[in-house]
Amino acid sequence: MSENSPDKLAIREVRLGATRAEGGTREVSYVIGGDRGLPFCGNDAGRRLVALEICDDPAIWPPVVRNYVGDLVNNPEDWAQAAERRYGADLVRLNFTSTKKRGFNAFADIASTTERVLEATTRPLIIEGSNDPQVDSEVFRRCGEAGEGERLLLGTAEADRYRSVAAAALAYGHLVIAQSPIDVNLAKQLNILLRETGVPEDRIVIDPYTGALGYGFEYSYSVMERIRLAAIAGDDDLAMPMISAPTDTLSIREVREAAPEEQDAMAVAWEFYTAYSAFVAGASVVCVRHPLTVERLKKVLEA
Amino acid sequence: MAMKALDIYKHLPKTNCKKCGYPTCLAFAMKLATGKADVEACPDLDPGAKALLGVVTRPPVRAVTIGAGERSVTIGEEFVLFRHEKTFYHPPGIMVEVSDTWTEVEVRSVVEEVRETVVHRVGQDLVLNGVAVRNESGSADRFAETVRLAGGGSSLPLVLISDDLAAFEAALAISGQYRPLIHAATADNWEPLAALAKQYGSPLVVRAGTPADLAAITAKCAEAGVADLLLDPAPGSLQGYITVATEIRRSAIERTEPALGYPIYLDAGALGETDAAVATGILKYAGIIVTPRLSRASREAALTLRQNIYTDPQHPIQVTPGVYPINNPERDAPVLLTVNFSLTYFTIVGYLEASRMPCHLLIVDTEGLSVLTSVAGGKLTETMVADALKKFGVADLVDHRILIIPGYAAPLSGKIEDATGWKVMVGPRDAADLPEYLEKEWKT
Amino acid sequence: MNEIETDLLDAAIERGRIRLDARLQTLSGKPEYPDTAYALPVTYALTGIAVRDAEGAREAYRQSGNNLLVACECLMAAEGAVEPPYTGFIPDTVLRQLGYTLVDGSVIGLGLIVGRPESPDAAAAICREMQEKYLLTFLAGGVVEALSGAGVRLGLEYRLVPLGPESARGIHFADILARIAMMFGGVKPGDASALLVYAAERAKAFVIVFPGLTDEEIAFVDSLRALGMPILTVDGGYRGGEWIPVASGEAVQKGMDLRGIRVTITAIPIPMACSPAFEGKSIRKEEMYVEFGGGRTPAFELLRTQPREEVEDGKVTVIGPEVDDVPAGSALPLAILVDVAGERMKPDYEPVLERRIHTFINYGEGSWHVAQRDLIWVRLSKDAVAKGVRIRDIGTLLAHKLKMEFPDHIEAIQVTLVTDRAKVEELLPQAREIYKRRDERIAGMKDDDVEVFYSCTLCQTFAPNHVCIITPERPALCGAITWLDARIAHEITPSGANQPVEKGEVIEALRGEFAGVNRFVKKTSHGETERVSLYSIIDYPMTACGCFECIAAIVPEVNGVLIVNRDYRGETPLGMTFSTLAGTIGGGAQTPGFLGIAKSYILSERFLQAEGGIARVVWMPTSLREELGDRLRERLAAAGIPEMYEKIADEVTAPTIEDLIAFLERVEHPALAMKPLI
Repeated sequence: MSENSPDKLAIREVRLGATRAEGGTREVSYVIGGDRGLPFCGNDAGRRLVALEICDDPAIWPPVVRNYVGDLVNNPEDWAQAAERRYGADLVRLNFTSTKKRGFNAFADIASTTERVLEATTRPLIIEGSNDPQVDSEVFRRCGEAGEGERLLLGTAEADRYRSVAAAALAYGHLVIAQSPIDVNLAKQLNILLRETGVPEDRIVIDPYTGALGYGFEYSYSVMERIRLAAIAGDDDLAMPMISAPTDTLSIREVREAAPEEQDAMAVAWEFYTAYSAFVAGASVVCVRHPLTVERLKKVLEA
Repeated sequence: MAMKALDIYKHLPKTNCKKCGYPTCLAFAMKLATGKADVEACPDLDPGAKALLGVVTRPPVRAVTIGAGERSVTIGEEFVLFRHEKTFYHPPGIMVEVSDTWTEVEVRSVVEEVRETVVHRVGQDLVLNGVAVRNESGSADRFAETVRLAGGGSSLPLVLISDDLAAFEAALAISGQYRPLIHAATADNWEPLAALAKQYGSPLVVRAGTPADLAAITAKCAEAGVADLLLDPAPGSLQGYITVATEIRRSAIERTEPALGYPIYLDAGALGETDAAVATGILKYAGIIVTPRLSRASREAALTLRQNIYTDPQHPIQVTPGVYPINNPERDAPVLLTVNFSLTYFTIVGYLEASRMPCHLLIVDTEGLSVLTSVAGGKLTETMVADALKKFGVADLVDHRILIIPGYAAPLSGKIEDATGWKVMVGPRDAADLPEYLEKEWKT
Repeated sequence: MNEIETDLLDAAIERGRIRLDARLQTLSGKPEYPDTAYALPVTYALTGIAVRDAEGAREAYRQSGNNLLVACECLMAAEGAVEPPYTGFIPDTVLRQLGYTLVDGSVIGLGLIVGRPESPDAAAAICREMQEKYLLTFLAGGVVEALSGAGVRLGLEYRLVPLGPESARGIHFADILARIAMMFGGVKPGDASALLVYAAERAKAFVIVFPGLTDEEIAFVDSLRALGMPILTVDGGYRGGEWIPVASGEAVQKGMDLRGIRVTITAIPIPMACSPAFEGKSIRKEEMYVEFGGGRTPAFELLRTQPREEVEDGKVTVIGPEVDDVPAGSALPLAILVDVAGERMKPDYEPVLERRIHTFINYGEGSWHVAQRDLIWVRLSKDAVAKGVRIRDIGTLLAHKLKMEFPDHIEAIQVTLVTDRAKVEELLPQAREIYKRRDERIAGMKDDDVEVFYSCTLCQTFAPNHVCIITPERPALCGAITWLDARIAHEITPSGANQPVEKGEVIEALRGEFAGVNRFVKKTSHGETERVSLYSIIDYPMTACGCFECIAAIVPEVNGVLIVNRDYRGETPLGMTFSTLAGTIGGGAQTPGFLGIAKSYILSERFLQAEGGIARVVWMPTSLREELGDRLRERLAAAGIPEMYEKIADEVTAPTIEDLIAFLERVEHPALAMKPLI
């Protein structure tokens, strides 16, 4: 199937995080990618990572997680630490949900929260900044600056608002999550745009957008398979590792309307089936929100 | 390699006699090319042509039916390695296992669960498909008794798991008329098991450690007259399963090894994490998945995953047109127009429900096309909207006459006003902006 | 410019160069900058040498080929720091922030202002304009004092950075550029050409020069040209050489024009909202204040390319009465004349841009537009006119929207709206001539005339391995994209769904098989399809996705080809409906004997060329035949078989295959006697 020599990597190797020797303060850095063929077919090289999502403003965070995690939601650095030490996550994805409020301008907090979470954790860090062209520039500059040298994975860049994420990556040595709306050609186009802006190819991670299971998940699944196949066939513009973050999962009706004593089980089952399938489709990093899901995924991956 | 329609046509009589059930030979050839017709249907083919066409036109993965009656499950008849290449056709049967060492109560409880569980999603009833009975007692009688408790195959399809010939004989005596799946024939015991399978007309699983060994056994079984076979590659891990199942499916599709052109059997309880194994089987080519009992949450997630993966990408699930209440709307709630493309529907409903805004969602039938596509292709029209308003009695649900249409349908705003007499507000293009739009713009 | 003046500047440059050279040779101080990882950045970027002392400086200067920027930098680096409010050399950490704004688009370009202005207010105006246009400005020389004196606030936060009291401090502008190139642009130290490319393409910069420079400073400023920066002189200061004299009020725009720096405006200065949300809103008779065309009065629209000097960017002219000169309910004649200029603009693109007039006028809340060319019908609503909308505002709307949509093709645009009847009637015949010539041009475009076809992969979401090859004589199968459309789409979005396809060697002309096309298709179909014959239905026909307008299918019994269109829901003589056929031929698979095509392709000479052309067509639904109408008649006449129009069967004359055979035999259809198809 592949036209490449057996030695050629289909997916580029991408390094997340930087240890002291590499210019950062992490205890470990991770290499993802490096695959030669289809996922789980004996060609895998890089890590498969499970990230736990946390946020700086839990107001719109899924209630089922708030209930399970308790007070931690009010303190991102404690939450991040628990993610690593108690829940077993390979790394944390810090969502700056505070930026969604209208008229957001607490930019200094972006910087300080980033610093505090970095200090509280030992692993690489994924940061989901803002999603609003009005504040993007300042938000990404702040977290980029605060994390300079740590090789953060910054998200998300989209076709019509990628410059600030790219600028932060270039200015402060970070990586970019390139997100497209479940379309192979748009994913490719965005990677080309980022490359033309100067972002090196080994600092891009593709996010083809993951819909929740039962709410369009199969579209995402197939796009991920197609991206992997394109990379195997030699398409350089799609030869990046993928990240899957089915963020809507815990707001779906099945979880919201489950009986209180069954809610955690439903949340975890839904997240688990989605996240695991994303790995099978070729994702290198999958983000989940319920701590119990992390444990179950890690168990399967280690087997 | 599969033959093209025109090349198949060259071998046909070209008389358009219609005996095959198709109006022209070309139509029959096209159906054969997709593996959707049987060469046998043409009475005027010479044996040579029939043999040649048979080999290249039958489905790469044989269709096998397990069980009988209403709840029988047909698997196989697959053509691609990846669903996006065309589609996966037959969702795997999920068979919940019981052991013949269990009490009657325990067995019955599983059987009832399999029989009664229905998850209703997007107009489809998702069910578990059957019961697998494992012979662990060492007793043929005990095995047969448990098979009987499980219904004997009359209401639910069964899988008979044993390595004891006598146990199989006893169990088949009860259930043999209902085509239970026999697990499994190995290099050591295939001969008597094949004979049993042939006697009862039951499908048979072949088990071996490598694809080459599997092919050797299936070839022998086929020669012995058992056409309905499944493959159990006896994987030692999830990764091992994915690797070997991919290899088997590829050999079948590319027709490099016809003896591997059969559905795959997966025992999800034997690989550590059951949910992961069930998911793996669904994603990667399993035709039958035997699993220990699943929790309610796992069941629902598994059935949903199966539904999603086995949806035809070119015929996405369509939502039934109608008017849907969201968040308990009253007569002053806004009416939002959208299309019956499932992704659109789910996305919008998601945002609306999360926003807690009460509203009426009017869904029109654009044959499953998205807003953008249906507007561009002329499938979303003002007449259709007017008809839908009338048909679903929207005017009786609200006191106002304002319709909010999707942003991409803006080119139709004037025409819709003319056709319906309602005032049209043009909403956002992106569903994510709906909550904010409604908050800002909706005033009665 | 007379010879003496040219010589004056050149002479000053030469004198300055000699002095700089001499000073460098006798340099004794330690040239170094604090807080940077890039040593002396310009020198480092150009030569790869990290200068640490005077000897190193001289060595680097030699290796650079006596580059004056290197000399200036080494000399400045030995000078030491400056006092606030001047910044002097800017540390790396601060520079990262500045570089960030350049990459993220908050800043769209860079400017350097040197010298001492005679009029501080003129300088202040220039700075204000630069701020408004999102430029980051660096100042060196007496201009700093002049601006402070005029009350202008300076500093990084105001994007007016005072580098130093002498114009020579402008060298920091160059080291900033060099560091940004190395920090963000991946430019490696020593790779001078990469630095130049980066400066030319990413860090768009220009220099504005006021009087008062020493010879050395003149030589320094002139050497900035090597980094791609135009030097604009203001106040009649310096004449000659390559420096460009401008009036101070035009300096910023001139610099931006020369470097291709464009500000994207989002708000259009008209008293009317403008958004796609209003596209479908029609204006009824009772709501309309005034209308144009629609049969009541003559009206047409025309977009033409003009030479740059004849187009005044943004100018809108109304010739004739305005809308408030006539009572409500009136009709006026209208000519919409859009003149565009741009280096990349071509007459072939005119119709593509002209088509957008319709959409953009409909975006206006209160304006409405129907049809095109000389058939247009336009209305302005009473509400809009009450809010102050005039026909002039339509011109402004068009000028802004067109420029926003085609920023790389339109450098200048002006719109003239003529509502004077006599004038409109005078211009109408000329417009019609142009329309006619365009039609002839497109009709006349042949596949043999071009070396490059275009691909379209828009449908790969639904059919992962399908790619359309679009040629001048074969539009995309969806019917929506012609070769011209694909070409301009590619120019606008080079990384988009339309890519150029080199024809390459002709493998077989009749079938239309080309080596370059094969290579391209093999790659984009991920190996699924290896050969394509563009003009054949039997041998390696083009694949199809699912959105074709029609299907052409062979009918072997009669040696012909039938065509069925999507709108036709009934049966064909093959015993398969459009739907059934579509299900088996779509999805990106190559299906010999079947083609998914656009309606207009039926009329192309290339349709079925390998199999004998249009004479093969035996059946099509009546609705399709009627739709093709006269054009089909003309095509058949041109093929020498005008009588064939009645010989093509349809669902009435031949619903089944048996009926078809009988019908074709009765009318003696040419296909029966042609070479067997299979």
